[in-house]
Formats: sequence, structure tokens, C-alpha cells
Amino acid sequence: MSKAMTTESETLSEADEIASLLPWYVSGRINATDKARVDAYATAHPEVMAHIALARDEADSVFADNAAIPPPRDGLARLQKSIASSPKARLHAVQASVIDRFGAWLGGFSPRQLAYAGLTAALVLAVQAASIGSLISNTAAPGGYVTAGGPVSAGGTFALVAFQAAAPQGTLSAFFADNGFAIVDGPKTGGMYRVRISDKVLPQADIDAALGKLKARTDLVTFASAASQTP
Amino acid sequence: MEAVSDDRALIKAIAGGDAKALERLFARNQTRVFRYLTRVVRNDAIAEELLNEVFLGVWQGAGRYEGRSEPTTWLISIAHNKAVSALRKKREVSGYDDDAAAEIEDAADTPEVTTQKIDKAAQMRAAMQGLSSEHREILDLVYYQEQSVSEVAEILGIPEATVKTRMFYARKKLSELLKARGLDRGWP
Repeated sequence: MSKAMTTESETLSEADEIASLLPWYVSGRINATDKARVDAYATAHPEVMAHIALARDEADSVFADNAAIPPPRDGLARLQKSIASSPKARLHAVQASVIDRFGAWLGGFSPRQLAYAGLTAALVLAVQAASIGSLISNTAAPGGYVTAGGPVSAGGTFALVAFQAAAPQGTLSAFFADNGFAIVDGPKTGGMYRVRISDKVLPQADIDAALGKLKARTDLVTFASAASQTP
Repeated sequence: MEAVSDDRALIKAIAGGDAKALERLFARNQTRVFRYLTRVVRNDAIAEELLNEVFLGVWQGAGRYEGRSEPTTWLISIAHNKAVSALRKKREVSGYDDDAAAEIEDAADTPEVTTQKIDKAAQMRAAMQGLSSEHREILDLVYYQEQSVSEVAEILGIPEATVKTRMFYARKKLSELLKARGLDRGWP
């Protein structure tokens, strides 16, 4: 039935190829092409049915051997111990700990306090945005700058600035007018505003001087830093 | 199909650091993987150690599972690599070749084997013990693990044509071992 074969790389005869497919034929994990091939060959060579029976015996034997193997002992406990000491578990433990600590801190507040604190923070931001928003329109240079979402001047020197929550609008407006500053965009992430400190490109010394003026007004400004020419 | 999608979801959760998902995947697949390992390495203690390594590997590497293969095929391929490494290490350390020993043991017709000749099924099981680990493995992958030709090729890292010829030789060798025990299957 078969020619002599000694290595896996040798080509099988047709009969041997069919024999090699029978285990998948029996397990049902054979593809449609190979199944049709086995069926056609079996029709022409009825002795193949006996070979299919041999493959079924093999399958029964393999199942019996596997069924005789008892389940592993303490497998889950061992795995739990291993993953608990793994780097990945330690990383997730640290992350969970930070979240837990933050949760515990928040847990010290009553729901009413939390709701009030959230509402207060939102109101501060809203009031500041409304106040500075009005300042934007007041201080924008003629023919120049508008607020977020609108056109922004292509030239000049700019800074990113954050303001005190309680900065008086009049004082801020006067300070900006005295120094030729104008808010052109904002608020951005973190409550930052884009401020034009000159309509010309200033040398670094002048930029530092302007930033120094902003930072000196701690009653109005909490942060000031040079910004790129384009937002 | 539901079990497959469940396993896929579990692997995704494991990639995100969900240890409970790993425990569930372990509970669902430990017997299958452990039996595979036991049949290949033929040592319960080593198989238990490798089982732990397989699922620890899943814990560490679940993010690399792309879902192209079935979860079972992926798990068995990890188990295969662990088993191959363990067998290689065992040979290097002890110089003992289980496969060669299996054939030698098979040639000896012990009183136990003589008794088993009464039972055809037991005789078949005894003959299978005489197969090399490679041949025993491919029979297990197809009959017990129910892997297709392409899946076996993926697990073993060999071409599909080689999978088929390896299966042919495994079955041929089994026939020879049975014949040596006085049972001629009439094939090949």
C-alpha cells in the first residue's frame, strides 16, 4: 500500500496521503477539500472504511489515556501565588493603591460636601471665564484679535498665562492696557489663556521683561510662560 | 463558539491586568492544557510546573494575543514551547532520551504487557506509550485537542504538509509497535 518512507519531507503516495488525513476525517476538523478527497477515494477504494475504523480506535485510545490523567493539584493556588509576585501584578497593585487612597480621601467628605465642592469649582471657572472673556473683547487690538474659535493674529509675541480666580476685572484690564497686552485666546486646558505681549517679534530680553511684569502681579497672575507664535 | 468568544474576552481582560479573568481562563482550560503537557513530558510534577508557566506566560503576554488563532490553539502553542524547552533541558542535564527509552521498553514483553494483550484497547494504549514524544503529541493534538491541520502547523511551527507526513509516520509507527505485540492491524 505504501512505498518506503523514512523522512517527513518525502512525498506520500495518494493512498498514504489519504491515510494521513483520516485522523482529521474522524475528528471532524478536516477542511472541505480534504474531506471531499477522502470521500471520493473511499468510494473507489472501499478498504479505506477499515482504515477509518483504525483511526477511530486510535481516537478512543487517546481519549482514554487523557481521561486517565487526574487534574493538576493546587494549580490555581500556585498560579495565584505566581501572579501576585509578578511585575505586572505589582504595577496594577500600585495603580489600585493610588486610586484607593484618592477614593479614601474623597470618602472623608459627605456627598453634600462633594457636590458643593464640585459646584464651587465649576462656578469659579465659569465666573473667571466670563470675566476674562469680557476682557478679551475689551483689550483685543483694533482690527486684530478675537476669542477662541476666531481668527488669531499671525504676527507678534505671545505668552501663556493663568490668572488668579479672584482677579478684579478692572485691575486686570488696566494692567493689560498699561503694558499693551491683549488676551487673544482661551481658556485652554488648565485654565490657560494665550496673551499677545507685543504685535512685533520681540528679542528674548524683551520677552523676559514682559514675562517678568506678568509674574510680578501675583494678585492677578498665577502662571506666565513664553508661547509659540502659532497657537 | 460562545466558549471561544468568552476565552477571547478573558484574554483581553487579562491584557488589562484583570487577575480574576486569568483565574477564569485557567479554570476553563487547565485540564486540557495539563493533559497535553503530561502526555508530552510524561511527568506529572514537570507538567504541573509547566502548566503554571503557561498561564503565567498568558498573564504577562496576553497583550500580544492578536485574535488571529483560536484561544485554545494559542494556549496549546505556548504549552508546546514550554514542553519542548523542558524536554531539551532534561536531555542536556541528564543525557537521558525518553523517546529512545520508550522504544527500548516497548521491545520488552513484560508480564504486564502479556496480560494487556487480552485487551485490544489496553494494547493500543500501551503501544502509544512506545511512540516518540513528537508522534504522541501529534496524535493528541488531533484526536484529543481536536486541532485542524493548519492549527497543528501553527502550534508546532511546521508546514502543513509536514504535519500530514508526521501524522502518517506516527500512525505507521503505531502499527509497527502493535505488530510487535502480536496485533497486526493490516495497515500500512
